Order: sequence, then structure tokens, then C-alpha cells
Amino acid sequence: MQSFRAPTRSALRSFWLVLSATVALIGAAALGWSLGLPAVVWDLALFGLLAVVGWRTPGLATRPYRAWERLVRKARRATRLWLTGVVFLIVTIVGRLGGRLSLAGPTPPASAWVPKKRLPDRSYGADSDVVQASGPEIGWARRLATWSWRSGNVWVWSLIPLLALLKRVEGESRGSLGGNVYTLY
Amino acid sequence: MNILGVSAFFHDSAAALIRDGEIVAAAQEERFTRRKHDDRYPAKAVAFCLEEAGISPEDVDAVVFFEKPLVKFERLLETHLAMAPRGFEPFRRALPLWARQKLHLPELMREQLGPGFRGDTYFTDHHESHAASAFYPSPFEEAAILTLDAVGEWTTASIGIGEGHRVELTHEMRFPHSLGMLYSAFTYYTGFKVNSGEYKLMGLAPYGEPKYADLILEKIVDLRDDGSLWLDMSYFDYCHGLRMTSEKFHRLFGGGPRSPESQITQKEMDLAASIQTVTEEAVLRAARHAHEITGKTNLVMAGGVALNCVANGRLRREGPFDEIWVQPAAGDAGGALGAALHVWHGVLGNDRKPVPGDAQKGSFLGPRFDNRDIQLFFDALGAVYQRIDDESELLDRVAGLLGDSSVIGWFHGRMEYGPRALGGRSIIGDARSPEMQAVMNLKIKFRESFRPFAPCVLREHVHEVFETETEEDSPYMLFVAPIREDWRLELEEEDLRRMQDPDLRTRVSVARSRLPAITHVDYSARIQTVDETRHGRYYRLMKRFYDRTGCPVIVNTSFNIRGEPIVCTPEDAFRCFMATDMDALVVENFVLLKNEQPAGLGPDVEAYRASFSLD
Repeated sequence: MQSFRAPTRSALRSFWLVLSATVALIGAAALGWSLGLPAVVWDLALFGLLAVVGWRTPGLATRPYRAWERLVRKARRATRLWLTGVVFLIVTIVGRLGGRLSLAGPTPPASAWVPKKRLPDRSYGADSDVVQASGPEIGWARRLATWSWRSGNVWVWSLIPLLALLKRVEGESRGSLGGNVYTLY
Repeated sequence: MNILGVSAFFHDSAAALIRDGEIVAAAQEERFTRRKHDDRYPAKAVAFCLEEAGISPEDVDAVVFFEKPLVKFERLLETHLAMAPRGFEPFRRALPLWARQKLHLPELMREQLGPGFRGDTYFTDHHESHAASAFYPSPFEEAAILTLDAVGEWTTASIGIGEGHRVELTHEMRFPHSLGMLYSAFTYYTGFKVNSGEYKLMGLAPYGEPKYADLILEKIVDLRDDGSLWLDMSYFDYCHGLRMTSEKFHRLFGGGPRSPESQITQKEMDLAASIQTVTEEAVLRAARHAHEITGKTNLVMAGGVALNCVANGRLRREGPFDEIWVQPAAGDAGGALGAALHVWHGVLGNDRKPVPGDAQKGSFLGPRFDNRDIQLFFDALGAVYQRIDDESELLDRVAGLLGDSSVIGWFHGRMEYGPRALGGRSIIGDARSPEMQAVMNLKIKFRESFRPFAPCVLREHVHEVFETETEEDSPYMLFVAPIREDWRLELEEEDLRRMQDPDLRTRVSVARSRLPAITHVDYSARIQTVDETRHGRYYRLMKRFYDRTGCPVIVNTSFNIRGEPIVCTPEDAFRCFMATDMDALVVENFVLLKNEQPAGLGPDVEAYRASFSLD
């Protein structure tokens, strides 16, 4: 479970200013429409009032800040689940078309030992088993794309945008999975 | 040239630093963070390695990760392609971690080392890391290599050859067919934690009969003459579920898995004996096959299965090899060292000269603390201590305490690299004492264990106590050997009755030898030989104890309580000492007696125990 740190005073003030601006905008529109004065006047007045109050007592922002955090956390979780679901759907479709891993079926005739391919020395500079051209460093998406092309997994290209989005919504504090599963790490 | 090896993001993160091929430092992250099996990036272990070497990140020429993340990602995807639409739950849990962290390891490692690091980044193959950790520090010019674990990228076991500075893996077994997975499945089913409870299952085996071995071989695993195996995956859930075994597995053995911490029944004991028998057979066959195809007379081993010291003991006694050397950090923590060594020798092609004994330095590769800092710490704390700078006097004092059946926390020199305490951070006691086992278990470790403790024995006397070759070397507690007949005791009728007790603690408390604290119910013992070259002061302490008592054996267990990583610093040691019923603590030249310590110095015992989750 992701846990948020206690908000700092400056974070609370910043949050309060943004909140004040938002409330002032909405409130000014409503007051301007109902009382007839120009909205900008109400806007400035409301914002000034709220900002001063919040600046002097940042503790006031704690509750709305926590509520906002909870909302963000839920949104992140939902987005993460949705993105993972889409990736899993792609995996399922590709898997239905046929994968390479044989988990069942007849056992090999004599031995389960198979020859192990030695990696080319230059591939030790890469996080995959393919040799990458020397030169400037490349980003993860290009590495993944290069590897999936050379390893015959071009379908993985379709995952790259989703993985990029997933990276965005993934919290910072999630560590390992623990438990009794360890094949998937 | 400084090469930093890193293993992380699976379990037991670690870092190791080698300089021009020599091992300078290595340590597991859990020792610093106090979080057992910590799998996060080993920032503290890395910092220690750099400090020990006296260098900064600018001086690191290369950093090596112990496996190939993208190849592992391929395995994850291929597994789900084969299993989908089953397996969403583990996929849902695993994928975000890959998206955030594991697909970005080159960047992450550079970030962690900071902008000063301008060296190269390498990624070795998981089993090549194991193989390198086994061969390069070994004393052999050439050897057959056998690596056995759960799974790396795709490989679950490999066979190869080490010659000079080259390691070449020629054969492999591939996921999902894995001896390590098979053993872990039974670990799970018998109610122990996967990745940490395997040694408990091994310790449980002597209580049982291998009545399920034939069933396992008939239904679950097709074990070939060459030690390769093929699992019937319908008995396992680990490819698509959150547990190791399937309903079919449960039906085969007459019910679901044992609940953790519940009563262990004869069924679990028999299952443990059965899977241990199957495992030993698989290891023996694989080793014979390695011998046949390599033609080598020496064997080196690594990978989690190589920590199965019962199988190793059989291999040493029955196998085809003249000499066997097992990497003491055989699990994934050792991958950090192997990865670094692989780049130095295997990739960069630097020569290697085998070191007599081995190049592992007794596996004392962690932090050390000097007397000045220790004194400052104890003074600041207000602890009562006696500083004894004359080593002979110090050893006399400690040997005397040992002879009085005191339980002693022993903290000397560098911390061990690997899962075992080998005399750097150990709790020691008199193996002859009939009460020692119960005292250590209940009052020190806070556990009700069915396993005896491991013995440390002076190497020159090992063959007098255990059924081994003369002065046989076993410095890393990786081989089991039976205790000699002349040390065994005749069991009386009452003892035989107690040996039938359903409570295993009663059974293990029956004195079967003149060294009851270390003798298992089948008269086996997990021996560590102690010699002057590797162990220094620890050897001299045992020698002093031997001179006083004529007993060349003491009890050695890791300096921690249940669930706690082995202590690293004097502070950790003092806290553990004060939270338990240890009688004395020896930290370098300082001797502290529990009954002399002022009240209120120790931690709140309940809170201390609660801070570690049960392993």
C-alpha cells in the first residue's frame, strides 16, 4: 500500500493557493452572475481573502490536502488497473494466437538439458542478450523496441506506450511483491 | 580496476566490489537496513563497498547487474502468453514494478551511483553470475560447474566448464522445469515461506520417511538419468497464480497446504523426507552427468539449491568428483560477486591465479569496527564492559565462559557475506551441554525449533568427531556429515519413547551423542571446520576451549533472533544481546556480562521482537 508522507508547510501553502484560486474563480463567476458586479472584482477579492487566511494558517489546508491525496491515489490505482488490464488483454490475444513457451505436452525424448548459447562479449553491455550498437545511450523504450525486434517479439511494441503511461501513474514507494510468487519478478 | 557487482529487485539484494580481480568487499543489503531478504537497490551495501575500498563513484570503472532484465521480462511475457487469460492477478502485481523500475535498470544504476560515475554498465546472465561466483574464487585451476536454482532469466540449472579465466556454460535446463521450484513448492505446501523456509524443510526431513518419493517421481517429476527433469505443470500454480501448488497437487497429497506456524504432522515430515530424497537424487545425477560431459575431477557449485548441505554432503561422499567447492553466498546475493568476477575475467579476459584454499577469504567480506569506535559507543551508552587488549587473556576469559555453559554473542572482524554466520557474527555455546539447544532456541532465538544447531569444529579434529576425511575442509557450513559412532550415545527405553513424541522439540531434545546440541535425529550435523588462516581469533578461541576441555566442537548459530537479519554493527549486537537471555557479549576486545548491565539499557523486548516478521 502506498503511503503518503506528512505534507510540508510549503506544500500545504502551495496547495492552498491553488485551491483558493480555483474557489475564487468559481465563486466569482457565481457572485458576478447573481449580484451583478464584474466577476474579476469578486475573483480578486475572494482569492486575496482565502490566500491570506491560508498563508497565515497553513494547517487549514491539511484536510482538503489529504482529501485531494486520497482522490489522486484512487485515480492512480484505477488508471494503473485499467492500463494493466489493457496490456493483459493484448497478451491474452497474442497468446491465443500462439506462444512459444510449452508448459504442457509430451516430455522430451531423452534429456531436458539443452545446449546453452554463449552470449557475445559485446552483449554484456546491454540489459538484454542482443548486441547493441555502441554510441550514445538510448532510452528504455528504444532498448525494449530493439530487443523485441531482434528476439522476435515485435508485438511488444504495442505495449510500449502503455508501459510509459504505467510508469507515470506508478507510485514511488511500491517495493517488492513478497509472498509466495517468485517466477514473475 | 574497480568493478562493482549488484544483485537486486528479487530477494537478498547485495553488492560486491573487486579490484583487479581481488575481492575487496561484499555484503547483503538486509544487514544494513535490518529488513530480512531486503530486495531493494542495495544503496547501503554499495556505500559500504566503496568505503571499504576507499574509493568514490568516480573511481568505479564498471558496474555490473547480475542478470539480464529484458530477457527476464521476455520470460514473464512468454509465460503469460501461454497462461492467459489465467494469471491476471500476478500480472497485475508484477507489471507496474517492471514499468517503473526493472525496465530502467541502466538509468537506475547510474542514478544511484551519482553523476561522478562515468564507467561502463554491464549485465551478465543470471546463471553465468552463479557460475562465476562458484568458479573464480574456488581453489581450482579447472573444474566442472553446476548451477541449480529456481530460475534466472530462462535457465533453471546449468552445466559448464571453468578453465583458467574462462567460464563457459554448455548446457541448461529451462523454465518452468526447475529443481529449485520443485523444492520451493514443497516448502510452500509444508507451511514454510518460499525463498527462506527451504532450509527448514531440509532440517525437517530426518524426522520422516520418504514414503512419497515414488509418488513424486511417478506423478510430478520425470527425473532422467542425467539429472535433468521435466515437471508436470498441472501440479503447480506458480506460472499463473499467487501460490506454488495447484489443487491437483493438493488432491495428490490429501489436502491443502499446512497453515504456517501450525502443528507439524508426520505427513509434513514424510513429505520433507521425500522431496529431500528426490532432490539429492537429482543433484547426484546432475553432478555425474556434469562429470561425464566435462571430464573434470573437481566440481564447483552455486545457486540456491547448492545451499542444500545434505545433498552436498552426499555428493561429497558418493559423487564422482575428487574435490567440491560451493560458493558460500550461493543464492542470489552471491550473484553480485559472480557478476563482477565474470566481467573481470570472462568479459575483459584478465588472467586468474587460483588461491590455495580459496579466494573467498573465509567469506568475511563485510564491515568491521575498531576498538576505539566500539569503546566510544559503549561509553556513550553507559554499558558496563571489560576491555581486554591482551588476546591470550581475552581468549582465556571467553573460553572460561563457554566452559561454564554461558551463551555468548561473538562479534569479531568482518561480517560474513552469505546466509551463514561463520564466526564473525555468531552466538556460540558449549555443544556438550544437554540444555544448550533448548536455551538457545527459546531464550535467545525465541523460537521452538525442531532443528539442532550447527557445530564449529577445529579442522585438525574434524575426522575424529565426524565421518569425514582427515582434516576435510568445510569452512562455509555447506556440507552435512554424520557424527562418528564413538561419539554417539546408546538410546535408552525412555529416549526411544520420547523419539516417538509428536512434538518434534521433544524428539530433538533426546541426547543422541556426547554433543547433543548439534546432533540431529539421524546423527547428522552441518559442520563448519575452523582453521587459523581463515578464522584467526575465532580459531584460537576454539583451540583455547579445546585445551581446557578436550572438546574440539562448539555450537555456532547466527547472531540474531528469529526473523532478524544477522547483526552488522556493535549497536545491532548490543541491542540483540540485551533483548535476549545471552549471558555475555564479546565485541572485539570488549567483554560484557548481562548481569552487570544497568537496567533500562536494552530495547523493549516485545517491541524488538515484533519489529521482525517471522521467517
